[in-house]
Amino acid sequence: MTARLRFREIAPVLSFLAMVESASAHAHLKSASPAPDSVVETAPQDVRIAFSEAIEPSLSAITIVGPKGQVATAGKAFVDRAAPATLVVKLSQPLPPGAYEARWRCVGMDSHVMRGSYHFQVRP
Amino acid sequence: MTDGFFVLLTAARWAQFLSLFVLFGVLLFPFYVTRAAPAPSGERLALKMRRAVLIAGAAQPLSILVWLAASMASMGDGWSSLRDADFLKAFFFEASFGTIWLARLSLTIVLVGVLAAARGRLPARNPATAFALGLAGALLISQAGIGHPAGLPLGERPIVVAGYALHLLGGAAWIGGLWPLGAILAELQKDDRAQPYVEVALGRFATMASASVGLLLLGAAINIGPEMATLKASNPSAWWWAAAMKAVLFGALIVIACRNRFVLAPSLAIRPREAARDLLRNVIVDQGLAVVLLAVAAFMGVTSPTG
Repeated sequence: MTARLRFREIAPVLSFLAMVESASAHAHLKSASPAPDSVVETAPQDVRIAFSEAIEPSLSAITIVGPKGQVATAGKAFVDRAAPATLVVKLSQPLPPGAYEARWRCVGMDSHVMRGSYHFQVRP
Repeated sequence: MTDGFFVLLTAARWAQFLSLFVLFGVLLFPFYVTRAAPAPSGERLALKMRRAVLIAGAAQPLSILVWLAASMASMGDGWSSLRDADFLKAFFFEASFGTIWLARLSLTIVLVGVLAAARGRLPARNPATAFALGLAGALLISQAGIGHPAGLPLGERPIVVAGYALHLLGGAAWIGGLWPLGAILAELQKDDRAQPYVEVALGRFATMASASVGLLLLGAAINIGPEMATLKASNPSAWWWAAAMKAVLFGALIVIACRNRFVLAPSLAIRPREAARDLLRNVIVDQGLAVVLLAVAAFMGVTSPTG
């Protein structure tokens, strides 16, 4: 009887623990377009990075740096309305052939900041 | 995040935890130990408690400012971001946690004002102490809005925030109460006449601490739920190692608490000086363990369970 009562008391906590599948990890890069280390045939109009969880768009950023160190992005990055974990930045003009570095900074809703970078190429 | 910001954020969070835990525990003490200490011990204890409130009350605003500044600098382009009006606007008025930070700063200003205005009347069973206690509690709970629980899906967030609140308030009542407890045990070394008061205070503290540990464990069980998916038994992350270390430190605190309650406190009536000396030594060890435990908790706050 007592054991049954105790189980009834802790059942809500146990069921919550069993139900929870998500993890409160810091946001990290899940996928990107252009993809890391990829070689693209046509110059992209924008760069999109999908993170593992929703991010704060006002404090997150993507910068595309060209072969001579020039910055190729136009304006601030924004979040894709259809996917709140995807950060998008428009390019100032179609990228000329060459090697590029995408540098990103994402601030999660839990106020943790993650930074990273990857390379891609635009084929001549 | 650079190593410098990581260390600064961990240190600031630790100082914030410790100052709020001491404030909460010291301010709560007169509400469960309702009996007054006999003179002249009462005056000496009141002075010590006021000093603890003064030190913790000064450390709290300083640590929250360092935490805020380091947090902003790590999110932006270093310390120069603190002078960038666009960045400040984005941080406080566009980011979801900006409102929480503004609320925490407002609570801090009010707390500093109350502690300064009522400094001669704290801590005691009066409205000023109750108000300051409420503010310290709100500052503890509001940390959920700028930490891991804030990153959870909306459906899970309320229950995890509730668990976080139970965990922190239970911990602050218990650990913070070690400071007044240490002071009254030290008083017994000086004046035997304080013994009846010390016995009552020990009993009340034990009851409060048992309830607090229950709340703390319930909160921990709720909080750990969302992190379970990140545990890789074969290769645990630094966060999980820290969680294990926190559990070991907690276990050590419980073992000492049990010895205090079931062995030393009953022997106070038989051999008061020796028992009080051993209790005081254990409380000092507890305080040291708690300081390390809060540093581990601060580390866990700035690292990811996934590593």
